Amino acid sequence: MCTKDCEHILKSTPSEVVEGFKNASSFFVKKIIGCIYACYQKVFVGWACVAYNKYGIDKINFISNTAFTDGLLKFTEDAKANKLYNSNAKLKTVLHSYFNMTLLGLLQTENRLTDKVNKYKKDTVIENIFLENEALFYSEQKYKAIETALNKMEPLDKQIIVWRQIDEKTLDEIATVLDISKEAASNRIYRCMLRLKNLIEKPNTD
Amino acid sequence: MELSNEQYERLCNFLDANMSMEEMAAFEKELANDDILRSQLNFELSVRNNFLGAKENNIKEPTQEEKKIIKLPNRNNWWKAAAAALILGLSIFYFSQTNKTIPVDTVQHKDTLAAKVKDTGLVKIQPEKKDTTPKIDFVKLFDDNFVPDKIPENYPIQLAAELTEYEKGDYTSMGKLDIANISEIRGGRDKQAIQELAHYYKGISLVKLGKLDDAIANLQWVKNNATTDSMKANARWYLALGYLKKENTGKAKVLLEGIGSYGRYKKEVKKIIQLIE
Repeated sequence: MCTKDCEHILKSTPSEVVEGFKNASSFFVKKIIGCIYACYQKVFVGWACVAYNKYGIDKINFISNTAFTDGLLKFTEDAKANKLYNSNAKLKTVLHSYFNMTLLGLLQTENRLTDKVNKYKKDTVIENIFLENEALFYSEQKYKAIETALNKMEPLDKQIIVWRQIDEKTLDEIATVLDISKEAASNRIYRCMLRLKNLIEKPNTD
Repeated sequence: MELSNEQYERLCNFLDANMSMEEMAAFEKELANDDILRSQLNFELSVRNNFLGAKENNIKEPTQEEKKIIKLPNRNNWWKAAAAALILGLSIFYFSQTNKTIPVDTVQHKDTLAAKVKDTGLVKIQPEKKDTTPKIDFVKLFDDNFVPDKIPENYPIQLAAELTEYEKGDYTSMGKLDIANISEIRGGRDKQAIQELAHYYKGISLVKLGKLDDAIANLQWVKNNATTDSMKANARWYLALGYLKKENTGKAKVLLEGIGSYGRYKKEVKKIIQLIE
């Protein structure tokens, strides 16, 4: 059962979790894991089914459940070793990154196994890299395109994208940092993302 | 065509996994009917996933000049602090005025002051003290003997959240535990064992919270259904304390006698039985 206490824990900071793991209290570890299962498993699987529905609901449903367990194991290992990814974010955000990263790895392997030919074709067509089957996965080529475009942007726009997409700050957090309303923050981020998209699609224009 | 502000806000909330299941279902339908929204989502996911996948990034750090452009807001909140201080100051002044003690025992103005006191309602009229001291001080007896049982070393994760609160001395969430709906997820324990612990700790919490009827029902369940004698004896002990708090010495005595030779509460049982006899 996802209790208020569990919800509270998921809002805590990863550093608090790392401290808990360091003390190696089996109770604490169990408690955290219990809370994550109770509060987050269904949410993540539901989220994955919507986000990656182009790969088929049944497949995503199965893979995202596996990703949840594997991601949680990886999170536990990293927390114990004090090597949490994106450790400045909220625990919930960090967990989401772990689950998503694991899911992407599993999905990509599965996708590539079943569609080797398409993969080759798609990785060679730069214009369509954000539209094809492989679009949602990491590739060096795509990453370079994003990075180059981002480095061309205005400092504040670039910073907003870094906050949003790398630090995974929420709308509320960005609104607070910029001291603007949530609506204004949403609008601002959207404009930045449109500019980024434009720069990726038309790299030679400024 | 561009997305509306509301649509983009929903998209952000979705990416942050900041949606309830119902909101997510509605968003899924919206995505199915809106190509622009779907395309934007895929783009954002792709950017995010690529940052996740990249081992390191070469995003240039902002230069000193750029940092000036990324001007973080200067929150001029001094007036809020000033207003808060003013309100606090006024409140302290008001209460210091209203709480001034009135010398009720001044002989000269006794009647007038008594009338004032009555009018303003500032002094609570104490009821006359009656000698109602019971032969057995049940509250003291309960307080002297009630110590919430420690949580077990191994317990099912379904109870983890409530047991943590319990261990911290907050019995509310354990007291509200919905035992019928505890999910049977991982943990490798059978339903009986989970129920046993749930009823037991819920019962203790409810005794502590003074919800004695519910507490008795839960502990009674453990007394009748527990798989071990020690657990049954523990349940009897807390049941007895519950009845003592209800000032029902008859039932308490029967329960205490039933604990028998179980060593854990031997001394306390003997003492209480002597006292209530």
